[in-house]
Amino acid sequence: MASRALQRMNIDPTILQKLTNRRLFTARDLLIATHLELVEALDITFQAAEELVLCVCNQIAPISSTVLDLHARAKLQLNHLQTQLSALDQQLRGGIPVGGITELAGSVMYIDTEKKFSSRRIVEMAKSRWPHTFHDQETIQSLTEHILVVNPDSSEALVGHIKALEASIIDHNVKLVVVDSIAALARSEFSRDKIVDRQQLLGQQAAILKSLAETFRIPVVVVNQVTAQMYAPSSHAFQGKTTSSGPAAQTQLTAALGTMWAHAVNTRLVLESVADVRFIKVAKSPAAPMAAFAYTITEAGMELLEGHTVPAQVLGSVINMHVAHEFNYEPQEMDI
Amino acid sequence: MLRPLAYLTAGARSAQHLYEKELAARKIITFCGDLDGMLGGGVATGQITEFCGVPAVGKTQLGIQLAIDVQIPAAFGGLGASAVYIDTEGSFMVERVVEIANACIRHLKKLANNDGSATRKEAASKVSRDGMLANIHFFRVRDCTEQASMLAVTQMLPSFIANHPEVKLIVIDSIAFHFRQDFQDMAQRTRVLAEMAQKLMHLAEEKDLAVVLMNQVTTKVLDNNRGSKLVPALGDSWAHAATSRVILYWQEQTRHAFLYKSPWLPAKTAEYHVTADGIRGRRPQKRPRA
Repeated sequence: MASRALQRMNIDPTILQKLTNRRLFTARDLLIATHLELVEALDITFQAAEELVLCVCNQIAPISSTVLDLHARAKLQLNHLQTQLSALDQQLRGGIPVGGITELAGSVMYIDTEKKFSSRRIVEMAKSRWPHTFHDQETIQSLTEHILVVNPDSSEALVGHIKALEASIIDHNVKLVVVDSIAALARSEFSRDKIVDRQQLLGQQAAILKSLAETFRIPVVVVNQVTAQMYAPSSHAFQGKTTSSGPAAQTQLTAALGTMWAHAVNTRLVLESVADVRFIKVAKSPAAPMAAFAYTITEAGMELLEGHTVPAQVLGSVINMHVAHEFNYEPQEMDI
Repeated sequence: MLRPLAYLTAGARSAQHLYEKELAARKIITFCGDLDGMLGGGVATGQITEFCGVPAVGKTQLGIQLAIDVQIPAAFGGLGASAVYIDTEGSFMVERVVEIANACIRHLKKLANNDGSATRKEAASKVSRDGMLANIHFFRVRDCTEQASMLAVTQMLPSFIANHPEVKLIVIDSIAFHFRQDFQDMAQRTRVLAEMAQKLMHLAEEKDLAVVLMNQVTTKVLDNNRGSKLVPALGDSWAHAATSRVILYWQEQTRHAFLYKSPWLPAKTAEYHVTADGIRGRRPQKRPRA
């Protein structure tokens, strides 16, 4: 995870000393410089500069595999984490994929915001869903002892934790990372005029999380919020005025954190409700086209419902996708 | 006829020479007729073509389709070549490559059967799913916040290509991911990107291969409450890097492509679809029986 230090590479010691003197410490420092800059800074010939660059590149460039090799390797590994929602798992070709970021986006009714993690709820779900497995003190304890919870209180702390994840993953044999939520801290700490800084930070977080997901072949799940869309859906300049530009006519909800974040996540699952029925929608997936599944929340957690007409999916750009929030706030009778 | 002035300007080539080269440039089809038509036959070798678009519009799907289609045998008008796929996003799915490869092979066999050509039948029989998978060289660039691996791969590409001369397509999916963060100095980013583009362009021309770059979009908020527009990522100076630029976008509920930069083709749009078999065009409407 650390920047590739030139010190640790196989480089001529004289040149290495010159690099250090010129404050070129990492592979990035070296590769960002032009050959001419290196010639001047290190007082070497152009050819020597070329050779130096190639020497470093040889040591850090990723090695290729053929897709056939990837295919063979994939067969030997676990490539998905099942959600146990069978229709959803089928749509996603096995479940939440490893090696990338899966985002769950929905409004605050459905997702616990930060610091609302409940061990009691996890235990209740486990007992209800797998009563034969989690039936006594010992098994319950083995479950709760295998879930590690951290509570960063600032974006900086969050980044620190993410960077330190690599060690934790190795030490504790971690097979799933959940960030709940990725939005809360970012949105509270960065004001409207600091959006660029916020996006930089999110980009950094996304890159590290993806790298971890890929290196350790684990799923990374991040929870996102929804936000009222400030403007009518964005389109390209050449598309002309297909929809009214300017502030949005009515309050439409969309996943928070903007366009760049939408690019960064590999899979986006949106939780929404239409006419009091909850749906989980596959809004972005490299494996599957858009689809939605009705669900409900029970003691055992999320369960898919049969027999509900899925509302006609409006195909379109993920970044403009509305998150439906038609929910009746009237108190409902609870079956005791 | 003007004699070329090569002896006066060393290294210069006549426009005639370049014209012949342009006409001879081979095209990699996409399997969507309208998209191929818009591109003048397909994605051309000898240049950099950039596809940019919103998330989930089909950039990776298109990249995979091209990595398969570059392998279509010469008997079917293809290049019969191999591909390099550089993934920076982590959305590359081997299962999709398998599906798209299988669909391509089915299509070739069908064509061969329909026209009964012995050459085609033989060529189709030699194409296998495993063979196609083996012809795609995959690089996963996995930096956290630095671009060192990405830059290193670009440096190593010329020697990789020299060792694998059958490669005629390089896809970088996406060029945006690593360059949208961690550059304090935008001028430096511009220079680094420009240098990368130069290297890739040189490789495309010298080795007569197609370089395809996938780019993201960014939302540009317009002042005076006029809303926002989508623009290609990586800034205005990046706009000069690619020879041809295509924007992939949604119009109502269908996917479209818009060629808005090309050295000689007119600006044009095309409708395309992402299907289980890969990229395809509009299904012809079935005519009702009389």
